Amino acid sequence: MQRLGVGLLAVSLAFLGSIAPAQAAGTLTIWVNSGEEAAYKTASEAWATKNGVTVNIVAKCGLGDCGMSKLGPAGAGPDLFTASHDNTGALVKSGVVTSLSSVIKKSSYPSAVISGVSFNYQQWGIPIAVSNIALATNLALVPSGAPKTWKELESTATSLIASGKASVGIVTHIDGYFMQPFFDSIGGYVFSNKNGSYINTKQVGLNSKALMKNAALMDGWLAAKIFDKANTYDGSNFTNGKAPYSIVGPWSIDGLDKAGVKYEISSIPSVNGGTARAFSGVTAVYMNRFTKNNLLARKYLVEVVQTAAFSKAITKANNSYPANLDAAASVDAKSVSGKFGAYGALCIPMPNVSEMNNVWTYWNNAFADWASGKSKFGAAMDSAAKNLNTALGNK
Amino acid sequence: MRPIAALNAQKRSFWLRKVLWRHLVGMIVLAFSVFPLIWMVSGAFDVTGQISTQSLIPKNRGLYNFTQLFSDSSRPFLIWTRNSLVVAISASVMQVTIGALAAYTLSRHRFKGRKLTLSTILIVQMFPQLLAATSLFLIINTFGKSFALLGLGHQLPLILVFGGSALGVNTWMLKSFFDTLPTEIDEAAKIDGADHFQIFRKIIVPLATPIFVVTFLLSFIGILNEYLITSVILGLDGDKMTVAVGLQQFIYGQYSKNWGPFTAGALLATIPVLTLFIFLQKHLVSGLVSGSTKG
Amino acid sequence: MSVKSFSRLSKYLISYTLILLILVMGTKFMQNKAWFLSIFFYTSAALIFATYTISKKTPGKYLLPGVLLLGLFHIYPAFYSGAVAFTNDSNGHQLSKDQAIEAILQDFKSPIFTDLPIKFKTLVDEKTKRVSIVFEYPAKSYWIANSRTAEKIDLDSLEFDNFGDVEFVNGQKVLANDQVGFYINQIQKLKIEIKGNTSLQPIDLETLEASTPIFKYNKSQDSLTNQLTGEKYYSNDNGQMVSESGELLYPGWKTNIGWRNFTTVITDQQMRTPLLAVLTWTIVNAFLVVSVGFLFGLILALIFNYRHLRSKRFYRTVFIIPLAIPSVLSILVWSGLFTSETGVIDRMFNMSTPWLTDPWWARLAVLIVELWSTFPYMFLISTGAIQAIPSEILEAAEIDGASPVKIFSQIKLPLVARTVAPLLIASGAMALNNFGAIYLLTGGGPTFPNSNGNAGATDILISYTYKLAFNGQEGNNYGLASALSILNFILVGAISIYGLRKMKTMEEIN
Repeated sequence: MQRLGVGLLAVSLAFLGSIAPAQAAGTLTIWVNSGEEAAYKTASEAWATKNGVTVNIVAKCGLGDCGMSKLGPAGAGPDLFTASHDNTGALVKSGVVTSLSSVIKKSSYPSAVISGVSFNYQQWGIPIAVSNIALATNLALVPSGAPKTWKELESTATSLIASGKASVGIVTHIDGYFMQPFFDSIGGYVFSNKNGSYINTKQVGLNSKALMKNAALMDGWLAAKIFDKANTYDGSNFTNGKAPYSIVGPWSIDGLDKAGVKYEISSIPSVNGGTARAFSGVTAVYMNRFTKNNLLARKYLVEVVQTAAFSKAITKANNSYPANLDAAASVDAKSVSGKFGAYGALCIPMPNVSEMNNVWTYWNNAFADWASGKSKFGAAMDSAAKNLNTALGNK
Repeated sequence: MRPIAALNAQKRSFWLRKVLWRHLVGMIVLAFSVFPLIWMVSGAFDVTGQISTQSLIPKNRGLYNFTQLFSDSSRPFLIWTRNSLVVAISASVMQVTIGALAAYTLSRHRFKGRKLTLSTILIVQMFPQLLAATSLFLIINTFGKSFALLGLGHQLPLILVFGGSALGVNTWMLKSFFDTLPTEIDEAAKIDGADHFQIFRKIIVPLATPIFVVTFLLSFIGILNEYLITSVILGLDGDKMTVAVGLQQFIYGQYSKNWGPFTAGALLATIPVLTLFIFLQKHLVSGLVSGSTKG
Repeated sequence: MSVKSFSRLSKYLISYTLILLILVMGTKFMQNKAWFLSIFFYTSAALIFATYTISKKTPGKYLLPGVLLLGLFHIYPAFYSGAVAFTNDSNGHQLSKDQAIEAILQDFKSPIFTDLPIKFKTLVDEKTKRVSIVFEYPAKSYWIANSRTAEKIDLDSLEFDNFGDVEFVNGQKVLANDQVGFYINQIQKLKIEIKGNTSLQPIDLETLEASTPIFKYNKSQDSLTNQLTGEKYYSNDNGQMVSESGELLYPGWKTNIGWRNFTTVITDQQMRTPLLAVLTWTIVNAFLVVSVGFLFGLILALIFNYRHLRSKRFYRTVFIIPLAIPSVLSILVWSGLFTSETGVIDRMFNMSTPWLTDPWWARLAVLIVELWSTFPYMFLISTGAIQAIPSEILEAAEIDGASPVKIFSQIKLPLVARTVAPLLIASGAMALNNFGAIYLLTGGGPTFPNSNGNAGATDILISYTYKLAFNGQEGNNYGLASALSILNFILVGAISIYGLRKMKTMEEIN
């Protein structure tokens, strides 16, 4: 009986002891979005072999900050992790990431992309991919192709509506994110960000002077049915040829192809000439402040993540557009992806401050009120700005 | 009229007055009942991936959503199904077992603090586990530091967490049912020399099969549905997710909702549960029905 | 060995192995400093030993496993969350104070640009295995530094190789490049401070980066001083460094703030007003769902309990279909169906209703969906309760000539209500916390203007709390959300206890 007991004890100790994982020197742990492990592993293989480092890729990210705000300070985080750039503000404020200003080579990326990973005058992530919405033109209704100017878009849409061929001009969700390019083209903005690396949440631009001056334009476009007055998003209007234009994202392409629509992707022209800027999203790699391998992680960032080859490999595997300028140059400019990317380089990254949580509510409500006819555009944005300022505690 | 014809006429009018309207009501409620299910089927076959399709029979139909569902290797639906089944079955079995054991003693044994235990069980369950999600995350993470198999990203801690809700409303329902079983059979068994556990095993358990089926089914469905705590504990590794968590991935992005494969997956997830329901509906109905007598 | 003693032996074996396993686990937790868990496991082992081997009392043997699991995975997390309610755990306050100060000192630096990179060579002390580095900064000025000190070193002590790099220091040879890697753990922790307020840190195994730290921390005064402007920052009571002019420095730290989360809920206008609305709707919603659902289920049960109705089983099966569809999926489908104007419901009835954008229509939509999910269960338990009514009572009433309405209101309704009362209370408690139906359908409904945390017209307390925790203003606010969770628990608990008491008195009256 006693011997049995001791034996059992020994067995259970051995069993339990073997369960706890051992940490080898020269190991780098990287948390990535689920589904991307294979791509990262392949892209890191050569470097790992050359330097005798074990690169451990684990799929733990894809939502928000990857749990880093809790796991980092507790010492349970990885060395590097991926996240979308709009988490930058929250990550930096919570103090869980290391500044990468001295690591990043700014010239490798478009300035808008750098701005996305910037906070408080420093850079905190190495960009990998950029994604954004764009304008889709139904070539059956508009054989001349994507509009080069806003005037062209407006006149094409109004004439099609007048002749009864179209029921609405631009099929789009009417909320802050999708309407941002139009908002931008008439001079509106969310928070001021003068040099691209410092967002001033005390200065709200929802009711900026320029916007209030041009607000009547939006009312006019709504009345002319350029935008859907009832604010009911129905993508089939575009696929069934009842609307010439639509705002789409890379996720919509499959549906369009399946419906057999002939379309062209392009940037969105601004009302004052030039390009209307939508929000872009940047996926970036961040360094855990509490990593035990900061030199190794840094080396990996410099020698692997910042290279064009890496950006190309990762974005090819998950069908996104590379942030690295050299990698982007190798994407076929005529492909759908290329068209999205070309526009993306001109877009502004979504503000990466956590105050955005509040912005969406008021901003979206204002758009809904305007589209349903409850109030005029200027008035709706003005009250949204006032509510937002109160909510943020701005004087 | 001849007597039989008169009888038939009377029967018909009786039927019309007393029965027909019930069928009418039944049809209306039936329509209400299956309403979302019909549209789920419709949406699953609509290749343009819309959730509120134009018409009941979609214009662009086909199996595309299903092929999309199964072709994404970073979203392995079959593996999710396997994970869901493993977790749901183990956790439900655990819940029924623990609940049955507790209900037995609460029903049969008079002891000090019995009433208190009953009320406490009910009250404690009112703190929703959902709100303790962050705490559970940190606790399971602490587990993981000492024993990898008990840490985040594994099924064992998830099953144990569900086991933590075993003593709850289910126990009450089981206890009510046990209460309806007359104590005379216990007495008879005791005279024959059976101890408390043998009474439980040999007498109570066989008689309580319908209510066990009900409890198992309700637990099973509840756990299959659960995605918040499941996603917190299992994490975001595609291979580890359950169906509920995995399908959420298709529509998580605020602007990239991919309704097509989502509805297809939802439909596939519903069919087995529905079939199970229909098979077991005799037990289910009799169990719930008798579980409510004597409350 | 006889069968009986074999089974007794195996019982002992199992319980002793289990106790042993739990003790070993407890010890491992202790090793990893997980105090609560180790204490819990030790106590559990003791309890298991006491209950199964010593004690004669049977109830414990049946209840113990459930209680242990309940304790560890339900009660403990609840208390853990509760404890968070007394801290300022939120976005920007995740670190400890030491970590936060260290982060501020690290992040706020002015980089110093040099024409050539600052190279260093590494030395290892034979005895202590401690690493030192030798570097030149600025030109012609050499230093030797380790994790504790940095001092100037004479050119005389150094010997150079043909490339002009340091080769010997005081006669000791520097490490060759391929050897330095073994000491990477020590090297990466080096933070060197030299005169002129210059800080140097390795950025790889042979290069240093120089910068001027902007802040200096004075431990005794607990203050940070901005070296450029001279401005001083002190800790406030919310875990942050703040200057006299009110400028806050991030990151802050997690600290105990007592009851402040609770008082904020009451005193902050932006929280109080929406919170009252949310509380009201939480209670009203639960009440409506249970009462209307029960009536609907009861009426259906009466209609379909008719003797002469064949195909009862068919209807019973069809009516409980809503229970079989995973709610996660069905509610999302409903939200699509409720889309205004182009949604299926509006098209069917030729309406144009702002289902999800108008507060009152949204509330109706929520009630419809909740009714859809609840009526099957209510139907079943009502059927059971009706079938349990002794037929003699019903026959007696019919003989006495009572009208169907009277039979219903005087006999059926009260008897059924008494039977299903505890189940209704349990349903009510679940309806008070029915997160899925609200969050998945409307996300809390059209948002109130001026509400912290985006409270909406269809929000119930639990969905509002969830949004605060994960979607709040300025990011996540777990402290505030935990405070609300406690209030939620008290609310639901109080209502349930009240309901239970009422039920007991009802039973006694009858």
